[in-house]
Amino acid sequence: MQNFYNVAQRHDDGFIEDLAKQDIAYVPFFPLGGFSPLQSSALDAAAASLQATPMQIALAWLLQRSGNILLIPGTSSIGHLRENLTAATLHLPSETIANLDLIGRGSGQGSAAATPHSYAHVAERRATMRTDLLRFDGAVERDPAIDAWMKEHAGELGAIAHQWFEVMRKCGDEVRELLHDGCPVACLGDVPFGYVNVFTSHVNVGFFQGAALPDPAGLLQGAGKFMRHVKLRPGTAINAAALSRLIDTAYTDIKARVENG
Amino acid sequence: MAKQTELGGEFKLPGTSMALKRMGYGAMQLAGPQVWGPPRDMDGAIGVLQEAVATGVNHIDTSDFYGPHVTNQIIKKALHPYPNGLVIVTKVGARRGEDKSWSHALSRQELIDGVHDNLRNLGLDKLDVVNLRVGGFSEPSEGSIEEPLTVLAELKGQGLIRHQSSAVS
Repeated sequence: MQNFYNVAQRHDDGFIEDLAKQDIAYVPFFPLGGFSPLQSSALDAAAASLQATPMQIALAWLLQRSGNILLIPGTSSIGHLRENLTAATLHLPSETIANLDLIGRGSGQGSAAATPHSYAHVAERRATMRTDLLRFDGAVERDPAIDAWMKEHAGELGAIAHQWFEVMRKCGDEVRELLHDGCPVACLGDVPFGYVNVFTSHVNVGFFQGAALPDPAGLLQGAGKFMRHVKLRPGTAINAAALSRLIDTAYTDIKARVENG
Repeated sequence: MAKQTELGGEFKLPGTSMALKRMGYGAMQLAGPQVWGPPRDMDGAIGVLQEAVATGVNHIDTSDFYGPHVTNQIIKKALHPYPNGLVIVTKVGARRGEDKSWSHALSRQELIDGVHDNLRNLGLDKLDVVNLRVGGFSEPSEGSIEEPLTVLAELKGQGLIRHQSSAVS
């Protein structure tokens, strides 16, 4: 059995255990795929603390996760091959495993099954997530690194990202920003609520607590416990009113969390 | 702490004599950009495969639709005749368009052709393990996999496949 699974993408957690009981191999691919900026930085921190690369940590984590997991990292470079194979010698201490488990918390089984938008559900999440709000040091009123990022991403995709980041900037007086792990991130004070990111053929407009946002237009994608994103492709119609409302709601939602939490 | 040569220990494929080192090698990146065409550095690609096997890797994951054909041809060039204990795991169920796209190829004839393409390009009489690719890279597709699995079981019956694995997303 092969599937997309890693530290951050843990929908198959329960499935892997079932397969292990039946002695069936599970071969995950994309060990570093689908990480949010925040998840990447948590992995980077784990790697730095063990003097290894993020890829090595991601591979070692998979080997330690379950005995029926087989790895097939690919590379066309001897250096990367040796680096990948050496990951099998890494022993991740339980503390590191615990930290890495926090990264993927929320993408596991159960949470992905439903995305109800009832207010009761949102309220329940709020109650349980009070202490979970992310906070970023260094968010400022205007981050020159973001303006530089906008200049670097000058094409059609960059323009889309720029347009929607401007909407985030205009949500309120308390909006702060920083470039985090290569993405412009909008915060309320030091608590991030939105980001934009440019890929080869699309732009993501993402929300740190997107799972709790009402989304009548069905724009949000992603199955994690917290984060959601809207995928925008050039030449494809954008439901601009609905996306603007999502951004406004994301800001209001974060404000409520900060004030009530 | 495990020694590097142990490569994470072994996993024995149930019902077979094949024991895979848990740290294997995926050959997808050996072809050119977008898993299409020849690699920029053919000698480098061959060197990576030989180094992997020399270090103890005995599980290589590939497919004939990588390249297409190119990746399997590189594996053959680098490693044939294959050492005892090396398990090449391949997959069928997809084809590549001229525009480098990936499409399903799950019809009876496409699966039969896929198995024969793998045999030819890898230089084998019998494939060790064949996976069936049924999903996309991000969206699982609907539809019965029973019929494709039946076709693969027939090919196994003809002695062309040693171990037929289950679905691949």
